[in-house]
Amino acid sequence: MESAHYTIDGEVLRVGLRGAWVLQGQQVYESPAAVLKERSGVERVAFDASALQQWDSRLVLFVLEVFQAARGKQIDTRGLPRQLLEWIALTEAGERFQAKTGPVNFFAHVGERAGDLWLSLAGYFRFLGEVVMALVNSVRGRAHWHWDDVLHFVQNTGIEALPIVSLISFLVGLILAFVGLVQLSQFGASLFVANLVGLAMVREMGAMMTGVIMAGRTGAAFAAAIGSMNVSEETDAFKVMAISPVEFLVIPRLLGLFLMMPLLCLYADFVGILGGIFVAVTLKGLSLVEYLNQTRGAIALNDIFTGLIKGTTFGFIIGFLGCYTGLRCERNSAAVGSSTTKAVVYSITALIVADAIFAVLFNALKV
Amino acid sequence: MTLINDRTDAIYVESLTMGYGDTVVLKDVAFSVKRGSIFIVMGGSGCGKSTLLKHLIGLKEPLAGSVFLSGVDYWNADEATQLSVLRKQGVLFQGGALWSTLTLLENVALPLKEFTTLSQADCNALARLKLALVGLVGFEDAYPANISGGMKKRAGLARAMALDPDILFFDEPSAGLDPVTSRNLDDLILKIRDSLGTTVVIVTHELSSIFNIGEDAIFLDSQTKTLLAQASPKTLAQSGPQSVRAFLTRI
Ligand SMILES: Nc1ncnc2c1ncn2[C@@H]1O[C@H](COP(=O)(O)OP(=O)(O)O)[C@@H](O)[C@H]1O
Ligand SMILES: [Mg+2]
Repeated sequence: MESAHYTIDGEVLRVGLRGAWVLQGQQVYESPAAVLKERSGVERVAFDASALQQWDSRLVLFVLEVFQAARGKQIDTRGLPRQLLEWIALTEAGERFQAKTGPVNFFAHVGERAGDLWLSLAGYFRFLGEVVMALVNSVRGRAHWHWDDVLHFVQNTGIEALPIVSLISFLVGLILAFVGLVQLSQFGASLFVANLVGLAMVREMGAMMTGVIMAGRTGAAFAAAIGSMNVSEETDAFKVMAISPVEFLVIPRLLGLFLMMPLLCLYADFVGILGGIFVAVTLKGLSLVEYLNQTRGAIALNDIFTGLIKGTTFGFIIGFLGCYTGLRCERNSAAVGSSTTKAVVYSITALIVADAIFAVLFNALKV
Repeated sequence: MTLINDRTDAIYVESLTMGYGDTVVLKDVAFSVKRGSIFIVMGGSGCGKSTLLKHLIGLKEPLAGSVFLSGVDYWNADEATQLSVLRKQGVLFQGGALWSTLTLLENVALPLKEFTTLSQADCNALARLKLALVGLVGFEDAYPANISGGMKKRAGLARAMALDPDILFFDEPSAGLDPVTSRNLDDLILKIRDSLGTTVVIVTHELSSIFNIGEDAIFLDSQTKTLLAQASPKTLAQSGPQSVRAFLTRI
């Protein structure tokens, strides 16, 4: 049965409401706009609720649809339940609070985006400035941060990362050795796999792989932790107490990472070389002593230093971007997720760009 | 004044004991809420008002006793019945608890989309109406982070009313609002009850609200961990137990 029954009575359209008009039910009806369009000559619209059994705001929606369709005609609401009319009156009372928002102009939109880009670049430099100022304040002994926190992050970013760094570095060393051995054994130069693995780990892969792990593990954690503090206005609570969130939240994280990155890199180099030994000595039967001697001859001290400089820079990049995206996080729960993603993606991109710059630089300096 | 309790009342609570783990917060609570009335839950901070509320909205299971919601023994009902009971209740949380990644319109339209067969356009139209009901025309596309505390409460109310609930629950609706805004919210609650016949349960210790709109009230006491009295606020202020009178007549 239809929930709305239309009858024409001279120039009056009578809308008969039937059965239950409730949100949890199903209503079948012809659209009032279509009915009115079909039958010209209607001047008045009236309602008949005598067969109406039950209603809630579902009916309000329909009645307003009728009002909309019958604009310019006379509407007789006497047949409607009194409470329904009160309901509608309440929503009209609400119109008083009305506010205005205009449509967005295309050029304004383009301009805004360009402005945003500039602002975001300016934002990085400003944040860099804040970090430097916080460090200057620390040297002067005026900053709000604690060594306890730094130690916490040393533990958190360094010691707790050892298992994953071990696993990845070992596998990277192992892969390098496999790939190298296949080629080198063709020339009978299998022992040079020690040079390949050693140099690649120390100069490139140790720092790079540690950086990538740290970006995913630590940078993301920084962004999420600071971002959610931002959402719950905890960073504002620092500001109103005249404590800089940069000092209290960022400096300990940066310092912790700064202290641990070189150590993790050295460790990764070492484990990577172990991976190489595993393949060359236990699987391919090279002599352990010869392999070690070959490795020692291949790696110079400045190779190790270049790796450490890279690792330390990577650590700074990861900490910086993690904290920055966290602090700039918008005030809603989805923003925490997107700022975490940003922290990881930006960090890894920045690592690779930085690595390329280092490659050119070290080549020019001949180290 | 004697109250005749009836399991078919909007809410009927029988020898309810509540707590967290082994600590009992309130014991042997019994009261009932008449359909269409405005019911106040009051008591000092930490006496268990929010805890009681959690038991009435299906968030927390009693240690002992029963809660009848619209005649259904909620904690002994099967899941389908529980869900249908919950769908006829609306809750306004203390902070509004609006979903921060959705606009106000999306916040209100979400329950409509999930629980009715209305089209997307109808859901939005109805959500717009509910927002108009609480005076938020023009803020449909605003995000919760960008509106004031009073507006968040009103938007939360619109969302609570999305499915035309039979019972509306409020946890400290006037907390953090200025007297005028909180007065307006009281008026709104009263209007909604008068025109829609909704049963309203309010947790509050705002004296002006208690006397302005409260028709029936209970007082919870943290010392004895019991319900001290149930009566209308005026009766309680005149002839309630000593500690309740002290609470209601502090100026
Ligand atoms: N999640 C919880 N776990 C343990 N104890 C709680 C929890 N929430 C509240 N309580 C305790 O229950 C008591 C009542 O709390 P609550 O119902 O929030 O009080 P009110 O809302 O009246 O201020 C308090 O003593 C509080 O410490
Ligand atoms: Mg509370």
